[in-house]
Amino acid sequence: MTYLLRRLVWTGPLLLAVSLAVFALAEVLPGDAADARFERHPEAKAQWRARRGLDDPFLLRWGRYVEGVVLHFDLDRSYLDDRPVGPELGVKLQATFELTLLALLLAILVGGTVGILSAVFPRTPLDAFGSLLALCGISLPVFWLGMLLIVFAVNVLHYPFSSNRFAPDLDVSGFVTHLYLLEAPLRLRFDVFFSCLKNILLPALTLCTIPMAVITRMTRSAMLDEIGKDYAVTARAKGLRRRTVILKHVLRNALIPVTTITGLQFGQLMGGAVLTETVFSWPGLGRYIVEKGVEARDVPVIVGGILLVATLFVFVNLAVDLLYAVIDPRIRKQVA
Amino acid sequence: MKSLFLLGALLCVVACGGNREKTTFDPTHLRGAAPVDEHPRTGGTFVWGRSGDAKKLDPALVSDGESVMVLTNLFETLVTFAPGTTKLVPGLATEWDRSADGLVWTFKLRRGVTFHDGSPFNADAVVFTFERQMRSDHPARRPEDAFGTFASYFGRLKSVAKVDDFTVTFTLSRPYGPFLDAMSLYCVGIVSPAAFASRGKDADGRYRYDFASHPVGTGPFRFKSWQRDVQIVLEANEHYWQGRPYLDRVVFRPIANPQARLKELEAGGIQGMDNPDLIDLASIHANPDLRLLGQEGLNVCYLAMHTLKKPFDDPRVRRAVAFSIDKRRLIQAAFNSTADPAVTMCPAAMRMHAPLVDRRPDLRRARRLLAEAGYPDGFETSLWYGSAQRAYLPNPGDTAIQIREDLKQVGIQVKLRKLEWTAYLAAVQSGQHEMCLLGWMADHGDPDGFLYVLLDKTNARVGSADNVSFYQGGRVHTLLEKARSVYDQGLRERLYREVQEIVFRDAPVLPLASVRDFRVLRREVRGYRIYPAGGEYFGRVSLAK
Repeated sequence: MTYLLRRLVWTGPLLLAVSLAVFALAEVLPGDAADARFERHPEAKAQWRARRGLDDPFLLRWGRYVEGVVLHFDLDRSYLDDRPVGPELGVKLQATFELTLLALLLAILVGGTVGILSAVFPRTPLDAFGSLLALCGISLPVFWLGMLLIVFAVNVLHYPFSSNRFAPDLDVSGFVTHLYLLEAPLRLRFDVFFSCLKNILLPALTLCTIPMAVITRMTRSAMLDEIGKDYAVTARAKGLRRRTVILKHVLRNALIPVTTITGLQFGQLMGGAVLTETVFSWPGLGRYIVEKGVEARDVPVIVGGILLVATLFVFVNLAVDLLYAVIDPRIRKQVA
Repeated sequence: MKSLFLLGALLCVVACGGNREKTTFDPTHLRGAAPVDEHPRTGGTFVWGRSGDAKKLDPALVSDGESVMVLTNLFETLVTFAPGTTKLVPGLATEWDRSADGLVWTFKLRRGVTFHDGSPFNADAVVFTFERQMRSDHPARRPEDAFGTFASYFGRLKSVAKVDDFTVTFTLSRPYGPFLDAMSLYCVGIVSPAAFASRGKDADGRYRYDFASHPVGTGPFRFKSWQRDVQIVLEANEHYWQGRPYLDRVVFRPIANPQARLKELEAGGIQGMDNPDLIDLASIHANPDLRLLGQEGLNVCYLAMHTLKKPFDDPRVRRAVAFSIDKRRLIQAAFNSTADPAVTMCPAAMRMHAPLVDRRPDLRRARRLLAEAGYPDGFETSLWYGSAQRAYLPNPGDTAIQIREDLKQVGIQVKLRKLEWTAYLAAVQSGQHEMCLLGWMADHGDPDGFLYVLLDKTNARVGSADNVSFYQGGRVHTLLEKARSVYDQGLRERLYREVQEIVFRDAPVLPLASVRDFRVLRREVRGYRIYPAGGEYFGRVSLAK
């Protein structure tokens, strides 16, 4: 418990440092979105800067920002139209979360199965197939694979591909969240659910390839490490079935590194699915930060976006650490 | 990123063993309109795929194409375009008249029109729409609101006054030739004063209502919802004064990648799209499910030479450049043969375009001109361009390289300077370049919007110049000022003709090409037309079964 507490306590200063670093980075960027907005009206820009307090000293502005985030969950307002950035980031985050979750589920399912089978039957055609799959997954460029899938789906399968999250004539005004895939079945809105599922499938397939490859290789090598160890041999010698040994004993021990890598992948996908999101016009977080933040130099979007992704990373890692405890009783004892 | 997609698309072609080769496709036989049904079917959702999302839905505040194409369906102006042209016809005004001195315009307004919120359209709404952009203390104006489009077209408008509920007068400080054209601009689309007032005022006495996210106009469609970067949904205006539009719903969806957009059109997820990738035109044209529309564009892409810097202060040098560049080859190499060579800065499809005969590429003559100007061995210079694609410049890099190669033949060594778009614009507007690539697109059908903006010396202020050759031509200035201050269209045409002739001779800029407009529709779409001055108009569109 103290371990968990210590981790949580450290999270605060860590995020504070991240926000300071991003804030400082934004400070040295030449020009910002307001330049374009007030292109011909420098006097209006001066007024606007004064009203937004942008001429105050750096540390004061940073302090005010941190205060806003901590006390009001306020991530400042856009330089382009003064709309609050927080809610917009929230919507994009949910879109990305849904996509990442599905992609990662696919990756774990396929990658885990293939990885285990490859380790159990090493140097067989099955293992070779696993290696090939992983190699393809890691080396196929995402934007190419995405386009290829679209072309294949439309021209060969006549799949009614749409990059929208759901059909535009469906009414979702009653929905509380933007996690349509999760909320729709709860509301018994299966029309929305199937529409979403249909549209999320291709981007999820595209996005899952890299984590799938990583998970496949990781599972295989971790399983191979464990399979040869004394306890596994002993268990077999005691007369346990091979299947029991592999699934109950070996797999559990092999899960630790696999969990770490899966957690890292999850964190990475949350902010880094830019290419997939661009190919499929998915309204996600990474694309929002790049297009609306970095390219348009909308500083609050950059700062808020990076802070959000950093926070997610920290908490995903925390969750992974907690998962260790669930998987490995020795760690559970240490933590307690 | 774009080049990555292009590469991706090319790889796709290879991977599928496709037969989509880069063929030269002749777009001149395309039409700008889809067929019209005699009895159009009512109903259906029309989804329009475009490259980006709108910025704001307030007609006074935006000038980007993605916002404007939504606004032209929500708002209407007093004077409007006849479908698919830049010809002016009555819109929310039924008739108009101007005083003998040309300073006072009187507009009679259409009766029986209501805004989407049910409030009546009348003289107060018109005065509100204009005064909002003229008076800095107007309650519907925030201090930072720039109203840039209005400022550049209505500089001569002094005041707007209501005579009675359906009569409004506009008083100008000087006669303004393109006044009626300016009245057709989206920035003076009439907004609902009642909507602004519906949420009360804040402590500074300004309206709280967020109009840019919840627009209210009189157009054929009314605003339903906007999920940013996902979709904007408009619904049929049941009480539209011209009768309910045929479509139930129009949805605008940003699909950034042109190949993905096209695939979605093929799959039927969207019914129409703009900005197809030029290499796809031939395969689109061959696809029986799709209809490719195209027409001459009201735009010009040009090479500007900084006339205040050596060696471009010498017209002989500028003419030498003009003689060295082969526009036809350039259009083949960098515009996929889908543009028309431009001769003057007034596009060929625009009113009062002077049909001048272009120079033929003539390297010997170019060398002779250079020698006369004192540069027999040529010189070194730089060509600046922005990295971003523009509607008038689909391949900035290829265009710049082709110009460099052409100029190399006469001994002019060109260094290319590529900048990110906003930095680029700032640099050329403050005159840091020697040569630069830029373009211009029409907002309405009058040449004043091109010639005055791009060539008059009053628009050559360092820092905010639109005249980026910093051309100081005195005669041209006199002619342009005169042409914008008279209403006699015959006289104006003669004045603009002389301007175009002088500029052709003097060559401060070399017009390169006018890019054609393309749209792709599914076969079942009826009644759609390309509007040359921009914007999309879906009020007459229907979907056949």
